[in-house]
Amino acid sequence: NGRAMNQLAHSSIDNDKLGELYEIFGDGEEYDWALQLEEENEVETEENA
Amino acid sequence: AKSITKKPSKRRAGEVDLEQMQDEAIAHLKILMREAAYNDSENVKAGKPSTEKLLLLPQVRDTLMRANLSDSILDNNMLESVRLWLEPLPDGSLPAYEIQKSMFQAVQQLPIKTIHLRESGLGKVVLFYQKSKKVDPSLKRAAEKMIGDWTRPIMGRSDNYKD
Repeated sequence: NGRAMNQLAHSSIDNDKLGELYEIFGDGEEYDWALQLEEENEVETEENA
Repeated sequence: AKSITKKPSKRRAGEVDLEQMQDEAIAHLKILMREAAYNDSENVKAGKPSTEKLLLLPQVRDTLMRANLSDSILDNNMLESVRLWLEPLPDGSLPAYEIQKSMFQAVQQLPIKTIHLRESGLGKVVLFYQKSKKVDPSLKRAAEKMIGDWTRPIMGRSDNYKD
């Protein structure tokens, strides 16, 4: 079944790449605490306005 | 007797010493950068002004912008210190704009490879700059471009693969 093999190969390549991207950029949650603080501060500023 | 099997040194006399001196200078600067980042964070927590990074900035900028040091900078993982300097402070605020601008400028002119990003964690903080609403638009664009430049060699590795 060539097509299934193809898909399998493709997905494993993508997983390798994905793994490398995770290693470099993290899961995107590293600095979420700061983004959350940003939003909280924004709400406060609006409330004070 | 002269040895003919001895490999000829790639470097001329004196160059090895110079390289070692550069490595040591950068290792020392990394310590100062880490201390400054730590002290600024502690100051913010204590409600005090955070100026230690700013005071050290001229020296850091001079080092980072010297093209002949780029190998030493990357080999000694000085990008890790750059990451520390770009990180948001404990109250969620960003480092001074001068610091952001200088770090971005330096990063953009260094020949950074995937391995340097893996070692330093720089990609993570640049991703944060791309997301944050408080970042200056020109730096946000720079962050976006860097992320693209760093992603491309990984994604493009099997360009010939088509389904």
